[in-house]
Amino acid sequence: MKKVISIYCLLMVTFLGMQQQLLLIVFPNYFPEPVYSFNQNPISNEKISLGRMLFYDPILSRDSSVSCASCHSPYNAFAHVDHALSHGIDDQIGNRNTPALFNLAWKRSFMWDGAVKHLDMQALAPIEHKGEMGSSIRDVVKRLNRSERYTAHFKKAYGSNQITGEFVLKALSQFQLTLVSADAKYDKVKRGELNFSDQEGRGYQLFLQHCNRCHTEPLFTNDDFATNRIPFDSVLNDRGRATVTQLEKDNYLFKVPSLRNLDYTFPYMHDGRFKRLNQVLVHYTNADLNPRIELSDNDRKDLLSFLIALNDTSFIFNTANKYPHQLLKNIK
Amino acid sequence: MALKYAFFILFFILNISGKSQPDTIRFVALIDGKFVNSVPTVDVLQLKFYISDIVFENEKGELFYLKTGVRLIDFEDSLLTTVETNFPINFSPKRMSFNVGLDSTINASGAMGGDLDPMLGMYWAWQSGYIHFKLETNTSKWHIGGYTSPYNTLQRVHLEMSATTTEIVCNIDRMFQGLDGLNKKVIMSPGADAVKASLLFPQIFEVKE
Repeated sequence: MKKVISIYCLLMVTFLGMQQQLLLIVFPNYFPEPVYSFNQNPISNEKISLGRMLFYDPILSRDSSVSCASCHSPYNAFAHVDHALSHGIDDQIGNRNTPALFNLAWKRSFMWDGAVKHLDMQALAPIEHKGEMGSSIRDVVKRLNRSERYTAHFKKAYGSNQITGEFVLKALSQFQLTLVSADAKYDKVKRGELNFSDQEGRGYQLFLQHCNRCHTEPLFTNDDFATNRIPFDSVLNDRGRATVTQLEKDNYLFKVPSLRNLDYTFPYMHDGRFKRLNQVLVHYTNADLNPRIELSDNDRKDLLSFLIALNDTSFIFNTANKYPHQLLKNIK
Repeated sequence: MALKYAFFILFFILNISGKSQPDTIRFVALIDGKFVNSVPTVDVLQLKFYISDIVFENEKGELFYLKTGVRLIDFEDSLLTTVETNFPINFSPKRMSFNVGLDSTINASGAMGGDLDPMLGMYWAWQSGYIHFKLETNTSKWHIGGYTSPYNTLQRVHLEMSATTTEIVCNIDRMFQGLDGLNKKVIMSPGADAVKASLLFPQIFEVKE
Protein backbone atom coordinates (compact mmCIF):
# COMPACT_ATOMS: atom_id res chain seq x y z
CA MET A 1 0.00 0.00 0.00
CA LYS A 2 2.79 2.41 1.01
CA LYS A 3 4.68 1.53 -2.17
CA VAL A 4 1.62 2.28 -4.30
CA ILE A 5 1.13 5.67 -2.65
CA SER A 6 4.76 6.68 -3.02
CA ILE A 7 4.81 5.70 -6.71
CA TYR A 8 1.61 7.68 -7.26
CA CYS A 9 3.15 10.70 -5.53
CA LEU A 10 6.25 10.40 -7.70
CA LEU A 11 4.10 10.27 -10.81
CA MET A 12 2.07 13.28 -9.70
CA VAL A 13 5.20 15.29 -9.01
CA THR A 14 6.61 14.36 -12.40
CA PHE A 15 3.31 15.16 -14.12
CA LEU A 16 3.05 18.50 -12.34
CA GLY A 17 6.68 19.18 -13.15
CA MET A 18 5.94 18.53 -16.82
CA GLN A 19 2.87 20.75 -16.66
CA GLN A 20 5.08 23.46 -15.20
CA GLN A 21 7.40 23.11 -18.17
CA LEU A 22 4.60 23.19 -20.73
CA LEU A 23 3.08 26.32 -19.21
CA LEU A 24 6.25 28.35 -19.81
CA ILE A 25 6.00 27.96 -23.60
CA VAL A 26 2.37 28.46 -24.61
CA PHE A 27 1.07 28.04 -28.15
CA PRO A 28 -2.28 27.53 -29.83
CA ASN A 29 -3.62 24.09 -30.67
CA TYR A 30 -3.72 24.92 -34.38
CA PHE A 31 0.06 25.33 -34.44
CA PRO A 32 1.93 22.18 -35.46
CA GLU A 33 4.07 20.33 -32.91
CA PRO A 34 7.32 22.16 -32.10
CA VAL A 35 10.44 20.56 -33.54
CA TYR A 36 12.87 21.80 -30.89
CA SER A 37 14.21 19.01 -28.71
CA PHE A 38 12.84 20.23 -25.36
CA ASN A 39 13.76 16.97 -23.67
CA GLN A 40 17.45 17.81 -24.24
CA ASN A 41 16.96 21.27 -22.70
CA PRO A 42 14.20 21.20 -20.09
CA ILE A 43 12.63 24.63 -19.63
CA SER A 44 12.92 26.40 -16.28
CA ASN A 45 12.35 29.95 -15.10
CA GLU A 46 15.97 30.31 -13.97
CA LYS A 47 17.32 29.27 -17.36
CA ILE A 48 14.92 31.58 -19.21
CA SER A 49 16.04 34.53 -17.02
CA LEU A 50 19.64 33.61 -17.58
CA GLY A 51 19.12 33.41 -21.33
CA ARG A 52 17.39 36.77 -21.26
CA MET A 53 20.35 38.35 -19.43
CA LEU A 54 22.79 36.91 -21.96
CA PHE A 55 20.64 38.06 -24.89
CA TYR A 56 20.79 41.67 -23.74
CA ASP A 57 24.33 41.71 -22.38
CA PRO A 58 27.15 42.94 -24.65
CA ILE A 59 29.54 40.76 -22.64
CA LEU A 60 29.14 38.32 -25.54
CA SER A 61 31.17 40.62 -27.77
CA ARG A 62 34.91 41.18 -27.82
CA ASP A 63 34.79 44.76 -26.52
CA SER A 64 31.42 44.66 -24.76
CA SER A 65 29.80 46.85 -27.38
CA VAL A 66 27.43 44.47 -29.15
CA SER A 67 24.69 42.30 -27.70
CA CYS A 68 22.15 40.10 -29.47
CA ALA A 69 19.65 42.92 -28.90
CA SER A 70 21.88 45.33 -30.82
CA CYS A 71 20.52 43.81 -34.03
CA HIS A 72 17.55 41.85 -32.72
CA SER A 73 15.60 44.80 -31.36
CA PRO A 74 12.99 43.95 -28.73
CA TYR A 75 10.76 46.78 -29.96
CA ASN A 76 10.64 45.38 -33.48
CA ALA A 77 9.82 41.70 -33.16
CA PHE A 78 13.57 41.27 -32.65
CA ALA A 79 14.47 42.45 -36.13
CA HIS A 80 16.81 45.36 -36.96
CA VAL A 81 14.28 47.91 -38.09
CA ASP A 82 15.27 50.44 -40.75
CA HIS A 83 18.55 48.65 -41.46
CA ALA A 84 18.85 46.86 -44.77
CA LEU A 85 22.11 45.27 -43.58
CA SER A 86 23.13 45.23 -39.95
CA HIS A 87 26.28 46.62 -38.39
CA GLY A 88 28.30 44.88 -35.75
CA ILE A 89 31.52 45.42 -33.84
CA ASP A 90 33.66 48.41 -34.91
CA ASP A 91 30.74 49.56 -37.08
CA GLN A 92 31.39 46.87 -39.65
CA ILE A 93 28.45 46.34 -41.98
CA GLY A 94 27.29 42.81 -42.67
CA ASN A 95 25.87 41.32 -45.85
CA ARG A 96 22.37 40.30 -44.79
CA ASN A 97 19.24 41.67 -43.15
CA THR A 98 18.65 40.63 -39.52
CA PRO A 99 15.71 38.21 -39.35
CA ALA A 100 12.96 38.74 -36.78
CA LEU A 101 12.90 36.28 -33.88
CA PHE A 102 9.66 34.54 -32.95
CA ASN A 103 8.15 31.06 -33.15
CA LEU A 104 11.63 29.58 -33.24
CA ALA A 105 10.61 26.23 -31.73
CA TRP A 106 9.02 25.36 -35.07
CA LYS A 107 12.06 26.00 -37.24
CA ARG A 108 14.11 23.16 -38.70
CA SER A 109 16.97 25.42 -39.71
CA PHE A 110 18.16 28.96 -39.04
CA MET A 111 19.72 31.86 -40.97
CA TRP A 112 18.78 32.98 -44.48
CA ASP A 113 20.78 30.07 -45.93
CA GLY A 114 19.80 27.47 -43.33
CA ALA A 115 23.41 27.09 -42.24
CA VAL A 116 22.43 26.30 -38.68
CA LYS A 117 20.42 23.16 -37.99
CA HIS A 118 19.59 23.67 -34.31
CA LEU A 119 18.59 26.75 -32.33
CA ASP A 120 21.20 26.03 -29.63
CA MET A 121 24.04 26.48 -32.10
CA GLN A 122 22.80 29.63 -33.85
CA ALA A 123 24.32 32.02 -31.30
CA LEU A 124 27.79 30.74 -32.21
CA ALA A 125 27.52 32.41 -35.61
CA PRO A 126 27.23 36.04 -34.46
CA ILE A 127 29.45 35.47 -31.40
CA GLU A 128 32.35 34.23 -33.54
CA HIS A 129 31.81 36.44 -36.61
CA LYS A 130 34.61 39.02 -36.78
CA GLY A 131 32.17 41.62 -38.09
CA GLU A 132 29.37 40.97 -35.60
CA MET A 133 30.57 40.24 -32.07
CA GLY A 134 34.20 39.45 -32.82
CA SER A 135 34.63 36.92 -30.03
CA SER A 136 34.51 33.14 -29.46
CA ILE A 137 32.40 30.93 -27.26
CA ARG A 138 35.60 30.00 -25.44
CA ASP A 139 36.29 33.65 -24.56
CA VAL A 140 32.64 34.28 -23.68
CA VAL A 141 32.79 31.41 -21.21
CA LYS A 142 36.03 32.80 -19.75
CA ARG A 143 34.45 36.24 -19.27
CA LEU A 144 31.32 34.79 -17.71
CA ASN A 145 33.32 32.61 -15.33
CA ARG A 146 35.05 35.78 -14.09
CA SER A 147 31.68 37.40 -13.30
CA GLU A 148 30.18 36.94 -9.85
CA ARG A 149 26.75 37.82 -11.19
CA TYR A 150 26.86 35.11 -13.84
CA THR A 151 28.53 32.38 -11.80
CA ALA A 152 25.73 32.81 -9.25
CA HIS A 153 22.98 32.64 -11.89
CA PHE A 154 24.51 29.66 -13.69
CA LYS A 155 24.93 27.86 -10.39
CA LYS A 156 21.24 28.42 -9.66
CA ALA A 157 20.13 27.37 -13.13
CA TYR A 158 22.45 24.42 -13.78
CA GLY A 159 23.77 23.49 -10.35
CA SER A 160 27.34 23.85 -11.57
CA ASN A 161 30.21 25.98 -10.33
CA GLN A 162 31.69 26.06 -13.82
CA ILE A 163 30.01 27.80 -16.73
CA THR A 164 30.40 25.91 -20.00
CA GLY A 165 29.64 26.59 -23.66
CA GLU A 166 26.80 24.11 -23.50
CA PHE A 167 25.09 25.98 -20.64
CA VAL A 168 25.45 29.39 -22.30
CA LEU A 169 23.97 28.19 -25.58
CA LYS A 170 21.14 26.29 -23.95
CA ALA A 171 20.18 29.26 -21.76
CA LEU A 172 20.07 31.56 -24.79
CA SER A 173 17.83 29.01 -26.51
CA GLN A 174 15.43 28.92 -23.60
CA PHE A 175 14.86 32.67 -23.63
CA GLN A 176 14.40 32.68 -27.40
CA LEU A 177 11.94 29.79 -27.23
CA THR A 178 9.64 31.95 -25.09
CA LEU A 179 9.27 34.39 -28.00
CA VAL A 180 5.99 33.03 -29.31
CA SER A 181 3.81 35.24 -31.50
CA ALA A 182 0.31 33.83 -31.82
CA ASP A 183 -2.09 36.58 -30.79
CA ALA A 184 -2.58 38.69 -33.90
CA LYS A 185 -6.06 39.49 -35.19
CA TYR A 186 -5.66 36.47 -37.48
CA ASP A 187 -5.23 34.26 -34.40
CA LYS A 188 -8.24 35.79 -32.66
CA VAL A 189 -10.30 35.07 -35.78
CA LYS A 190 -8.92 31.52 -35.80
CA ARG A 191 -10.05 31.10 -32.22
CA GLY A 192 -13.50 32.47 -33.04
CA GLU A 193 -13.07 35.59 -30.90
CA LEU A 194 -13.25 38.10 -33.76
CA ASN A 195 -14.20 38.32 -37.44
CA PHE A 196 -12.15 39.68 -40.30
CA SER A 197 -13.41 42.91 -41.86
CA ASP A 198 -14.61 42.52 -45.44
CA GLN A 199 -11.31 43.86 -46.73
CA GLU A 200 -9.24 41.64 -44.48
CA GLY A 201 -11.40 38.69 -45.54
CA ARG A 202 -10.74 39.39 -49.23
CA GLY A 203 -7.06 39.78 -48.42
CA TYR A 204 -7.06 36.41 -46.66
CA GLN A 205 -8.54 34.73 -49.72
CA LEU A 206 -5.91 36.33 -51.95
CA PHE A 207 -3.26 35.20 -49.49
CA LEU A 208 -4.51 31.61 -49.61
CA GLN A 209 -4.55 31.70 -53.38
CA HIS A 210 -1.14 33.29 -54.03
CA CYS A 211 1.04 33.17 -50.91
CA ASN A 212 0.11 30.24 -48.70
CA ARG A 213 2.20 27.79 -50.75
CA CYS A 214 5.41 29.20 -49.25
CA HIS A 215 4.19 31.45 -46.45
CA THR A 216 2.08 28.64 -45.05
CA GLU A 217 -0.34 29.49 -42.23
CA PRO A 218 -0.42 29.51 -39.21
CA LEU A 219 3.33 30.08 -38.94
CA PHE A 220 3.25 31.96 -42.27
CA THR A 221 6.35 30.20 -43.45
CA ASN A 222 6.99 26.65 -44.62
CA ASP A 223 10.53 27.08 -43.25
CA ASP A 224 11.89 26.02 -46.64
CA PHE A 225 14.11 27.74 -49.24
CA ALA A 226 12.77 29.48 -52.31
CA THR A 227 13.37 32.22 -54.83
CA ASN A 228 10.87 34.99 -55.49
CA ARG A 229 12.95 36.14 -58.44
CA ILE A 230 14.21 39.39 -56.99
CA PRO A 231 17.10 40.48 -59.26
CA PHE A 232 20.55 39.26 -58.27
CA ASP A 233 22.74 41.80 -56.48
CA SER A 234 26.24 41.41 -57.91
CA VAL A 235 27.78 43.57 -55.17
CA LEU A 236 26.60 41.41 -52.29
CA ASN A 237 26.99 38.31 -54.47
CA ASP A 238 24.95 36.16 -52.14
CA ARG A 239 24.13 32.67 -53.42
CA GLY A 240 21.89 31.96 -50.44
CA ARG A 241 21.27 28.29 -49.70
CA ALA A 242 23.98 27.26 -52.17
CA THR A 243 26.65 28.81 -49.91
CA VAL A 244 25.88 26.00 -47.48
CA THR A 245 25.09 23.06 -49.74
CA GLN A 246 27.39 24.09 -52.61
CA LEU A 247 24.82 22.69 -55.00
CA GLU A 248 23.88 24.56 -58.20
CA LYS A 249 20.20 23.85 -57.70
CA ASP A 250 20.27 25.86 -54.46
CA ASN A 251 21.64 29.03 -56.05
CA TYR A 252 19.83 32.19 -54.95
CA LEU A 253 17.33 30.35 -52.77
CA PHE A 254 16.71 31.94 -49.39
CA LYS A 255 14.73 30.96 -46.30
CA VAL A 256 11.03 31.88 -46.49
CA PRO A 257 10.46 34.37 -43.65
CA SER A 258 7.26 34.54 -41.63
CA LEU A 259 4.70 37.19 -42.57
CA ARG A 260 3.84 37.90 -38.95
CA ASN A 261 4.66 41.32 -37.47
CA LEU A 262 5.68 42.88 -40.79
CA ASP A 263 4.82 46.41 -39.64
CA TYR A 264 7.70 46.19 -37.19
CA THR A 265 10.36 44.43 -39.22
CA PHE A 266 11.00 46.53 -42.37
CA PRO A 267 12.99 46.59 -44.59
CA TYR A 268 12.26 43.29 -46.31
CA MET A 269 14.13 40.50 -48.14
CA HIS A 270 17.46 38.88 -47.23
CA ASP A 271 19.26 42.12 -48.07
CA GLY A 272 16.58 44.54 -46.91
CA ARG A 273 16.12 46.02 -50.38
CA PHE A 274 12.39 46.78 -50.00
CA LYS A 275 11.49 49.44 -47.47
CA ARG A 276 7.74 49.22 -47.89
CA LEU A 277 5.38 46.28 -48.12
CA ASN A 278 3.72 47.78 -51.16
CA GLN A 279 7.06 47.55 -52.97
CA VAL A 280 7.16 43.86 -52.10
CA LEU A 281 3.70 43.28 -53.50
CA VAL A 282 4.45 45.26 -56.66
CA HIS A 283 7.51 43.06 -57.15
CA TYR A 284 5.40 39.92 -56.83
CA THR A 285 2.88 41.25 -59.34
CA ASN A 286 5.58 41.80 -61.94
CA ALA A 287 7.93 38.93 -61.16
CA ASP A 288 8.50 36.04 -63.51
CA LEU A 289 7.04 33.47 -61.16
CA ASN A 290 5.43 30.19 -62.06
CA PRO A 291 2.48 30.50 -61.76
CA ARG A 292 2.43 34.27 -62.12
CA ILE A 293 0.78 36.30 -59.40
CA GLU A 294 -1.80 38.71 -60.80
CA LEU A 295 -2.74 41.46 -58.35
CA SER A 296 -4.78 44.56 -59.14
CA ASP A 297 -4.29 47.75 -57.13
CA ASN A 298 -7.32 46.86 -55.03
CA ASP A 299 -6.02 43.32 -54.56
CA ARG A 300 -2.82 44.74 -53.17
CA LYS A 301 -4.74 46.94 -50.74
CA ASP A 302 -6.80 43.98 -49.58
CA LEU A 303 -3.73 41.83 -49.19
CA LEU A 304 -1.95 44.54 -47.20
CA SER A 305 -5.00 44.78 -44.97
CA PHE A 306 -4.72 41.06 -44.27
CA LEU A 307 -0.98 41.31 -43.60
CA ILE A 308 -1.70 44.03 -41.03
CA ALA A 309 -3.97 41.49 -39.32
CA LEU A 310 -0.84 39.39 -38.73
CA ASN A 311 0.75 41.99 -36.45
CA ASP A 312 0.73 40.79 -32.86
CA THR A 313 0.97 43.77 -30.51
CA SER A 314 0.74 41.63 -27.40
CA PHE A 315 4.01 40.02 -28.51
CA ILE A 316 5.61 43.30 -29.59
CA PHE A 317 4.82 45.02 -26.29
CA ASN A 318 5.30 42.06 -23.96
CA THR A 319 7.48 43.33 -21.10
CA ALA A 320 8.57 39.80 -20.20
CA ASN A 321 10.89 39.69 -23.21
CA LYS A 322 12.34 43.18 -22.83
CA TYR A 323 15.62 44.36 -21.30
CA PRO A 324 15.91 42.85 -17.81
CA HIS A 325 16.79 45.97 -15.83
CA GLN A 326 17.00 44.30 -12.45
CA LEU A 327 19.03 41.31 -13.58
CA LEU A 328 21.53 43.43 -15.52
CA LYS A 329 21.77 46.24 -12.95
CA ASN A 330 25.17 47.92 -12.94
CA ILE A 331 26.73 45.95 -15.79
CA LYS A 332 29.92 47.59 -17.00
CA MET B 1 49.43 -23.53 4.64
CA ALA B 2 47.41 -24.83 1.73
CA LEU B 3 45.18 -21.78 2.09
CA LYS B 4 48.18 -19.47 1.75
CA TYR B 5 49.19 -21.27 -1.43
CA ALA B 6 45.64 -21.05 -2.70
CA PHE B 7 45.58 -17.28 -2.15
CA PHE B 8 48.98 -16.85 -3.80
CA ILE B 9 47.92 -18.84 -6.85
CA LEU B 10 44.58 -17.05 -7.09
CA PHE B 11 46.34 -13.68 -6.83
CA PHE B 12 48.81 -14.74 -9.53
CA ILE B 13 46.06 -15.88 -11.86
CA LEU B 14 44.06 -12.73 -11.34
CA ASN B 15 47.12 -10.64 -12.11
CA ILE B 16 47.79 -12.55 -15.29
CA SER B 17 44.24 -12.15 -16.54
CA GLY B 18 44.49 -8.46 -15.59
CA LYS B 19 47.48 -8.11 -17.90
CA SER B 20 45.81 -9.81 -20.87
CA GLN B 21 44.08 -6.60 -22.00
CA PRO B 22 44.85 -2.91 -21.54
CA ASP B 23 42.92 -0.65 -19.14
CA THR B 24 43.65 2.33 -21.31
CA ILE B 25 44.71 2.84 -24.88
CA ARG B 26 46.82 5.87 -25.67
CA PHE B 27 47.06 7.69 -28.97
CA VAL B 28 50.57 8.81 -29.89
CA ALA B 29 51.52 10.94 -32.86
CA LEU B 30 54.32 10.15 -35.28
CA ILE B 31 55.78 13.49 -36.31
CA ASP B 32 59.04 13.90 -38.16
CA GLY B 33 59.96 10.28 -37.43
CA LYS B 34 59.49 10.65 -33.66
CA PHE B 35 56.69 9.48 -31.40
CA VAL B 36 55.21 12.36 -29.39
CA ASN B 37 52.53 12.47 -26.72
CA SER B 38 51.68 16.12 -27.03
CA VAL B 39 51.97 19.21 -29.22
CA PRO B 40 53.14 21.81 -30.03
CA THR B 41 56.26 20.42 -31.63
CA VAL B 42 58.48 22.16 -34.17
CA ASP B 43 56.18 21.12 -37.01
CA VAL B 44 52.73 20.74 -35.49
CA LEU B 45 50.92 23.47 -33.58
CA GLN B 46 47.58 21.75 -33.09
CA LEU B 47 46.34 18.19 -33.47
CA LYS B 48 42.84 17.29 -32.30
CA PHE B 49 40.29 14.83 -33.62
CA TYR B 50 37.07 13.12 -32.63
CA ILE B 51 36.75 9.36 -32.39
CA SER B 52 33.37 7.74 -31.94
CA ASP B 53 31.53 4.41 -31.99
CA ILE B 54 34.56 2.52 -30.71
CA VAL B 55 34.13 -1.25 -31.00
CA PHE B 56 36.42 -4.13 -30.06
CA GLU B 57 36.14 -7.70 -31.32
CA ASN B 58 37.77 -10.86 -30.02
CA GLU B 59 38.63 -14.26 -31.50
CA LYS B 60 35.17 -15.60 -30.74
CA GLY B 61 33.58 -12.78 -32.74
CA GLU B 62 32.15 -11.16 -29.60
CA LEU B 63 31.78 -7.40 -29.82
CA PHE B 64 32.44 -4.91 -27.04
CA TYR B 65 31.14 -1.38 -27.58
CA LEU B 66 32.91 1.27 -25.56
CA LYS B 67 30.40 3.08 -23.40
CA THR B 68 32.15 6.40 -23.96
CA GLY B 69 30.53 7.00 -27.32
CA VAL B 70 32.56 10.02 -28.29
CA ARG B 71 36.04 11.22 -27.36
CA LEU B 72 38.00 14.28 -28.38
CA ILE B 73 41.62 13.21 -28.67
CA ASP B 74 43.52 16.45 -28.06
CA PHE B 75 47.29 16.39 -28.27
CA GLU B 76 47.53 19.75 -26.53
CA ASP B 77 47.39 17.79 -23.29
CA SER B 78 48.82 14.28 -23.03
CA LEU B 79 46.10 13.47 -20.50
CA LEU B 80 43.51 13.96 -23.24
CA THR B 81 44.90 11.32 -25.60
CA THR B 82 43.97 8.21 -23.64
CA VAL B 83 40.80 6.17 -23.84
CA GLU B 84 39.62 4.06 -20.90
CA THR B 85 38.59 0.61 -22.04
CA ASN B 86 36.91 -1.29 -19.15
CA PHE B 87 36.96 -4.56 -21.04
CA PRO B 88 34.87 -7.44 -19.67
CA ILE B 89 37.04 -9.98 -17.87
CA ASN B 90 39.13 -12.09 -20.28
CA PHE B 91 37.69 -10.38 -23.36
CA SER B 92 41.08 -10.38 -25.09
CA PRO B 93 40.54 -8.01 -28.04
CA LYS B 94 41.92 -8.87 -31.47
CA ARG B 95 40.37 -6.11 -33.54
CA MET B 96 39.37 -2.51 -32.96
CA SER B 97 37.37 -0.14 -35.09
CA PHE B 98 36.32 3.45 -34.59
CA ASN B 99 35.06 6.44 -36.52
CA VAL B 100 37.28 9.43 -37.06
CA GLY B 101 34.60 12.09 -36.76
CA LEU B 102 31.00 12.20 -35.61
CA ASP B 103 27.79 10.92 -37.13
CA SER B 104 25.21 13.25 -38.70
CA THR B 105 22.86 13.08 -35.71
CA ILE B 106 25.49 14.56 -33.44
CA ASN B 107 26.57 17.06 -36.10
CA ALA B 108 23.03 18.43 -36.46
CA SER B 109 22.30 18.28 -32.77
CA GLY B 110 21.81 20.97 -30.14
CA ALA B 111 24.40 22.07 -27.61
CA MET B 112 26.13 19.26 -25.78
CA GLY B 113 28.73 19.18 -23.04
CA GLY B 114 31.93 17.36 -22.17
CA ASP B 115 34.05 16.49 -25.21
CA LEU B 116 31.30 17.87 -27.48
CA ASP B 117 31.17 21.34 -25.92
CA PRO B 118 31.64 23.99 -28.65
CA MET B 119 33.99 25.91 -26.36
CA LEU B 120 36.66 23.28 -27.15
CA GLY B 121 37.12 24.92 -30.54
CA MET B 122 35.94 22.01 -32.68
CA TYR B 123 32.59 23.43 -33.85
CA TRP B 124 32.04 25.56 -36.90
CA ALA B 125 30.41 28.71 -35.64
CA TRP B 126 29.11 29.88 -39.01
CA GLN B 127 27.20 26.69 -39.70
CA SER B 128 26.16 23.55 -37.89
CA GLY B 129 28.68 20.80 -37.60
CA TYR B 130 31.83 19.71 -35.88
CA ILE B 131 35.38 19.81 -37.13
CA HIS B 132 36.26 16.13 -37.25
CA PHE B 133 40.03 16.49 -37.51
CA LYS B 134 42.11 19.59 -36.88
CA LEU B 135 45.77 19.78 -37.84
CA GLU B 136 47.71 23.06 -37.86
CA THR B 137 51.31 23.89 -38.63
CA ASN B 138 53.12 27.19 -38.99
CA THR B 139 52.13 27.38 -42.64
CA SER B 140 48.96 25.32 -42.95
CA LYS B 141 45.58 24.86 -41.37
CA TRP B 142 43.46 21.80 -42.07
CA HIS B 143 40.08 21.76 -40.38
CA ILE B 144 38.45 18.67 -41.85
CA GLY B 145 34.74 18.22 -41.34
CA GLY B 146 31.38 18.06 -43.02
CA TYR B 147 28.50 15.65 -42.56
CA THR B 148 25.97 16.27 -45.29
CA SER B 149 26.00 14.38 -48.56
CA PRO B 150 28.00 14.55 -50.79
CA TYR B 151 30.59 16.10 -48.47
CA ASN B 152 30.48 13.66 -45.59
CA THR B 153 33.93 13.24 -44.05
CA LEU B 154 33.12 10.55 -41.51
CA GLN B 155 35.56 7.64 -41.93
CA ARG B 156 35.93 4.34 -40.12
CA VAL B 157 39.28 2.94 -39.08
CA HIS B 158 39.85 -0.83 -38.68
CA LEU B 159 42.86 -2.12 -36.79
CA GLU B 160 44.18 -5.55 -35.94
CA MET B 161 45.43 -5.53 -32.39
CA SER B 162 46.59 -7.93 -29.74
CA ALA B 163 45.78 -8.24 -26.08
CA THR B 164 48.97 -6.34 -25.26
CA THR B 165 48.24 -3.32 -27.44
CA THR B 166 48.34 -0.15 -25.40
CA GLU B 167 49.12 2.49 -28.00
CA ILE B 168 47.75 3.54 -31.36
CA VAL B 169 49.89 5.64 -33.63
CA CYS B 170 48.43 8.58 -35.53
CA ASN B 171 50.96 8.86 -38.35
CA ILE B 172 51.08 12.59 -39.03
CA ASP B 173 54.06 12.20 -41.36
CA ARG B 174 51.84 10.10 -43.61
CA MET B 175 49.04 12.63 -43.23
CA PHE B 176 51.39 15.41 -44.35
CA GLN B 177 52.39 13.37 -47.41
CA GLY B 178 48.78 12.84 -48.36
CA LEU B 179 47.84 16.48 -47.78
CA ASP B 180 50.84 17.62 -49.85
CA GLY B 181 49.35 15.55 -52.64
CA LEU B 182 46.18 17.64 -52.44
CA ASN B 183 48.24 20.78 -52.76
CA LYS B 184 46.02 22.69 -50.36
CA LYS B 185 47.61 24.58 -47.49
CA VAL B 186 44.26 25.57 -46.07
CA ILE B 187 41.03 23.59 -45.76
CA MET B 188 38.60 25.37 -43.46
CA SER B 189 35.16 24.27 -44.60
CA PRO B 190 33.25 21.20 -45.77
CA GLY B 191 33.59 20.36 -49.43
CA ALA B 192 35.37 18.20 -51.97
CA ASP B 193 38.86 18.98 -50.59
CA ALA B 194 37.80 18.05 -47.07
CA VAL B 195 36.43 14.74 -48.34
CA LYS B 196 39.70 13.96 -50.14
CA ALA B 197 41.62 14.77 -46.98
CA SER B 198 39.33 12.57 -44.89
CA LEU B 199 40.10 9.58 -47.10
CA LEU B 200 43.55 9.66 -45.49
CA PHE B 201 42.15 8.89 -42.04
CA PRO B 202 41.89 5.10 -42.42
CA GLN B 203 45.50 5.09 -43.65
CA ILE B 204 47.16 7.00 -40.86
CA PHE B 205 46.23 4.95 -37.81
CA GLU B 206 48.19 1.86 -36.82
CA VAL B 207 48.77 -0.17 -33.73
CA LYS B 208 52.13 0.44 -32.06
CA GLU B 209 54.09 -2.77 -31.69
